[in-house]
Amino acid sequence: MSRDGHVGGAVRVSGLVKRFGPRAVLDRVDLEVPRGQVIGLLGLNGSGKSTLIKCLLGLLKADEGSATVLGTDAWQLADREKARIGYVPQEATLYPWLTVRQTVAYVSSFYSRWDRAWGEELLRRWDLPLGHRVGPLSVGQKQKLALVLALGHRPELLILDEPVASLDPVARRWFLETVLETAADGAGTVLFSTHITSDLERVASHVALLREGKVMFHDEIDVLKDRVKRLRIEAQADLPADLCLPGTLRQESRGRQALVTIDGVDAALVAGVRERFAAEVVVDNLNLEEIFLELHDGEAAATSRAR
Amino acid sequence: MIAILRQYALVLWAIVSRPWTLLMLGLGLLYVGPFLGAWLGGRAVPDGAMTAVPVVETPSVLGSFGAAELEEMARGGRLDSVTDLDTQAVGRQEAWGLVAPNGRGRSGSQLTRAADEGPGAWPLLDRFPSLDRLWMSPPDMLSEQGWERIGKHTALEVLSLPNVSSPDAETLSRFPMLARAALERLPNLRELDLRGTGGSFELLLPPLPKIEVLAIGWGRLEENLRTLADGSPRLRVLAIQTWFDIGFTPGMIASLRRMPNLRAVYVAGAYQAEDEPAMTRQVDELRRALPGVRVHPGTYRSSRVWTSFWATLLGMYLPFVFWFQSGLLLSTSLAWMLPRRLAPHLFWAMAAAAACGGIIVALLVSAGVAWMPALTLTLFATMLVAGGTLGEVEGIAGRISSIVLRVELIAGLAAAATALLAPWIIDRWLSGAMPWLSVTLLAAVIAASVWKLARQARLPRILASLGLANPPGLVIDVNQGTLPKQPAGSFANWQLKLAERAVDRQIDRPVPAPYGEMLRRSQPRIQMLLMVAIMLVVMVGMMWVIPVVIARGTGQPPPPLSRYLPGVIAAFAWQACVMTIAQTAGMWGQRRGSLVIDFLRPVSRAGYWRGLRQAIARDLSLPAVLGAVCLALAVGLDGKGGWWAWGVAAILLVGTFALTHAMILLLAVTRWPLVVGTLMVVLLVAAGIGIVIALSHVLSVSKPADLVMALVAAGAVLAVGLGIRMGVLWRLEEREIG
Repeated sequence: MSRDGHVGGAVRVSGLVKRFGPRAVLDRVDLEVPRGQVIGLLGLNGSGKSTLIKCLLGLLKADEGSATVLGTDAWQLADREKARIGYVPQEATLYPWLTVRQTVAYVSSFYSRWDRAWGEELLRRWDLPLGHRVGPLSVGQKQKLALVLALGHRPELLILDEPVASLDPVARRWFLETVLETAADGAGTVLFSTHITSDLERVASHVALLREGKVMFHDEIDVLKDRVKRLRIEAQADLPADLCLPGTLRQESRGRQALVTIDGVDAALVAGVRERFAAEVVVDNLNLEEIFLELHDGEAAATSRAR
Repeated sequence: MIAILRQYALVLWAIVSRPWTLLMLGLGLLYVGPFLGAWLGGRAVPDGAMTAVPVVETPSVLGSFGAAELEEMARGGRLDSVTDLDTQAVGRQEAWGLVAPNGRGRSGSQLTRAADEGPGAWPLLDRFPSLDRLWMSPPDMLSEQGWERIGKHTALEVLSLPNVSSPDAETLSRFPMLARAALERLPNLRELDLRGTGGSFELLLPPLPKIEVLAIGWGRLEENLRTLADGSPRLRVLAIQTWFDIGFTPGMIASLRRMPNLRAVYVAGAYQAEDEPAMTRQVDELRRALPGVRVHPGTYRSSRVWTSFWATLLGMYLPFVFWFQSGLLLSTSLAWMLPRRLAPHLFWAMAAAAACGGIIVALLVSAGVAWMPALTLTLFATMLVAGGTLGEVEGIAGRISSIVLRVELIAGLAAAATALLAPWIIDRWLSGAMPWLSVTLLAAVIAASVWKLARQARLPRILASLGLANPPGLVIDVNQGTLPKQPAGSFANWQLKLAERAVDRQIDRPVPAPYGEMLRRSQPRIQMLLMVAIMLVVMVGMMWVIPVVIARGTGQPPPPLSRYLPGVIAAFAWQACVMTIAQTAGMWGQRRGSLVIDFLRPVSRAGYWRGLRQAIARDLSLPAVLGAVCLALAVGLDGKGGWWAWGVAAILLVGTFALTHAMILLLAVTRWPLVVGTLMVVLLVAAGIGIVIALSHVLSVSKPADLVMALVAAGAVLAVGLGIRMGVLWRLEEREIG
């Protein structure tokens, strides 16, 4: 349940298709984000993350399927729903002729529930020069300002499109803490896309992996980590070039040794490998970045092999 | 070598391959038409190519203002108090209908004849017993009765009758006697123009004791000059109509030397271009004979002035496209990294300027412009927008650039105003008759051009040092968001502070407010108002100052302000309308990025588009008012069109602003701002042509109004405007954003 009593998921996407010309940038995407969840969108450049976010914000119209945000069709978001959403784009496009102080005053005038004290606290925290015009600010400062503008009205749903790429490490830490604060009371939902997987691991409970417009994986990060692991195999004799293990994402074999990344590792599979190849098997846990790379490299290799 | 040539070719390709460049070059063709027209007009019509310099004062009221005033006085039965009458300007039938008994529905020429007196009798003059200034011009004629009636107006101080003819051979033969008899009865005459009047060769002037300004023909000149020297001590300005093969006799010179207050003499010895050298010889001869008196040519070539005007515009425009692209390319970081980046970028812009300049110089010279003025104008025009760093750059170099820019702006405006008010002065310079001025101006233009080239060469370094992406002044930054900090106390800084305070006031207004109003609150409009105010001050100021300067230079009285003020206001309104449309378009074009974010404020999709439409419409209210003032003055000044002229003007206004509103809306949300912006310019220029065509068919002085043609042109403007607006607004709410 939200602060004002609304029930239901924060974001619900079903069979979403978005085409630019003949190319489907989003291809039957399904995604559900309950309220209070912090979810990261992970994907390569061009995988459709920004397009998905723009569809959720009603900036782009889906060709097929549906997207609802805070219980309302994303294309028909009304002022009530928008007042509960905060958004930071990839490149903060603000008002270059205004000062920082004027920008905050201007944007806050749109929101009846703007938390002035919270806004000032954020400005102070990020050390933004109030009297300076926005145009000549650095990219990082503009991004910080965009975050202030997105957070000042204490949104129920915060959508962030690669927001931290231009921030310095200190600002990134502040940012992540702020995101956690937003989600801390369980009512705030955060959906953000990023390439920095360590940040995602730090704040997100869930992750959705996008690849070529499709959701490859969507679940808790811990589930993903449990599923995808790397086996280090050392056999008595030379190993075959293809071990033919189920769920293999990537395999490197050299003589009696092999490294195999597998989606869906369990005890039976490990025991089977030991028995079949008379080998010692060590199971390595992977962090999110490694899993991300393995998933993409593995898919690419599989596609290449199939060709 | 091949690598260098390849680099040059690549830079050229980078410049010309952009759709913007091609569109702008295409747009340049619009300038070529009038230029070629003026140039060919000047060459193809040698007869009558020379225009007489006006010397007597001109009517203080023009067009409908004179007619309206006359109508009002006729209705009030106060014609006996009318002091000024311009028969040409007050040509409206309604006016004559009221003035003349039973005159309604009759033509002006019919009204100048009495039933028993024939044409040229001017019985109407009897209704104006208080006249002290009278202007007549072709096709007016004067018969014996007409001359008699003029003679009865003994209070006349100004009488201007250039080229007024006689209705028949008998009157023509008696002209010297009739004119002299009339003039003898006018003791108060201060200004008199009799150039070409009634075949005035043999007119023997009577004593004119109060005459100050006189324009006469060649006939009996020696006697007439002696009469004037003996009995006209106040004579200041004398215009003499001569022939190319006539010289001044010692007797004439002696009489001229005996005129104590003579300040200026205009010698008109040429009526076609080929006679100009002969006139120059006459002028020189008289100038040597009369030290202390300004002696000038009495005729000038207006076609030369207009050819030069259009050539200057053409010369500005085409190289501008190349200088602009060169500046933009030079300011990219890639250009900064490239070896030998400068030479090819400068080369193509200079090549375009040189090619265009070469053609223009050749055409100007063939149109009769002397070499030095031709070079000066061409260099001024082709280098005007070179050196994209002019203005807003700090330090001494910035100040010099700023001075160069301002001097060029003032010089350009002054030249344009002088060409409008006193084209004969500009023509004198163009003909090469002012060598010292020519040398000075050429030297100044060369110095300014060298400076600009030097600044263009340093462009990448200047931009890097200022941390700018674009050369200041090259790309219009309406909100000045990307400018570096301005020096305290500077005008730019004052402007910024003014804009900042205006935004503060707007943001402090009560909320909630309609979304369109909220959208507008982030942008200051004060700079637009400031620009309009500055334009007004500069234009009115120049129109006030330049006539006085001209009067001092020529010895002629300045034309009365009331004569040209409505025209000046109309011109100002037109300029200000165009400039404020450009500012509004630039302002909303710059909001493209932030409008995406603004969509995510608490507003529905329908509310967003409605608010955006309303905000742009509100911003267009200032240019719309200015446009309406301009059209109202254009229609009111002429006044012959009646209600349909007002109707056509209203249609034009609606069509143009429907188009403008739609295009600015599109510009604010498009992904291709450069293409949409250029398209907007092209469409507005086309609408401008439509406006000129429509108005010229209802406001034509020389031919009857053609309502059908005017409605077709106005209808086309309206149809295009509404059509494009419908296209832009069609399913607007379904449009994706960003």
